[in-house]
Amino acid sequence: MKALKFTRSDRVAPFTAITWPSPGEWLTVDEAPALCRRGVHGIRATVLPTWIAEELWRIELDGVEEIAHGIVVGSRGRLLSLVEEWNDETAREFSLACAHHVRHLEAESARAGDYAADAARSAPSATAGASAALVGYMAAHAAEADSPGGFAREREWQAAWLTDRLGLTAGAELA
Amino acid sequence: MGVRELTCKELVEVVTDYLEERMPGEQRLLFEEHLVFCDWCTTYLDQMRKTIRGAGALKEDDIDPAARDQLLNLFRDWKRRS
Repeated sequence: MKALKFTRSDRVAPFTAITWPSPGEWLTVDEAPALCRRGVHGIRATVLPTWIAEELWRIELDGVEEIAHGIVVGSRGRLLSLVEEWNDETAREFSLACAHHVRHLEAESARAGDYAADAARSAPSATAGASAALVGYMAAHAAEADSPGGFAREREWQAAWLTDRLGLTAGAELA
Repeated sequence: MGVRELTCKELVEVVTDYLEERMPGEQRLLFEEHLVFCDWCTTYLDQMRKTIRGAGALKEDDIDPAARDQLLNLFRDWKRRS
């Protein structure tokens, strides 16, 4: 199946630090898949904002199980192509959009307002990586502080924004 | 129901479980979700990995005898006080 994968620069997996092979070459794991432990992990577009990193790839996975919300794990996987639209510029756009989306909360409760103000302060200097992830996180927390369930709703909105802006709407398997 | 997540303080408390793979998958997920946006915890985890690698390669002879004696005295004092 087709999925997505955020990596650090130069195809380095964010948690295991394994370097993925060049696009087209398979990365194979012998042991049975286990969440965040074994197997080749990919994500669906619905959880993009949670896993932001420097590079975003379209990938293909074999022997896939979905073992957590939006996370798919296969026995082997390969990079197909880099999502060129994900870069420092679109990461900043994303961050500004996140901050803007919760801007009205700055005048609300102190906690929501603090998160919203932090997001607004950090967004202009965000890049493709942890800084953009952090702005999305702060914006989602602003929404949660304003009303229970706001975090999840904000994450959905952010995922839809990224999916649309990065042109990922095509493959239905990513939804 | 609030947001399920780890704070920096919680992450520091369970970092050994993460590194030794003694953490259930769901908790690993929360741990890694936190690392995505937290440069400080990412640095802390890297430092822990480097410490484990470095300490794992040490042999008794690698320690300067004076430093070893000083450490042993400290441990003896600590034992006496506890």
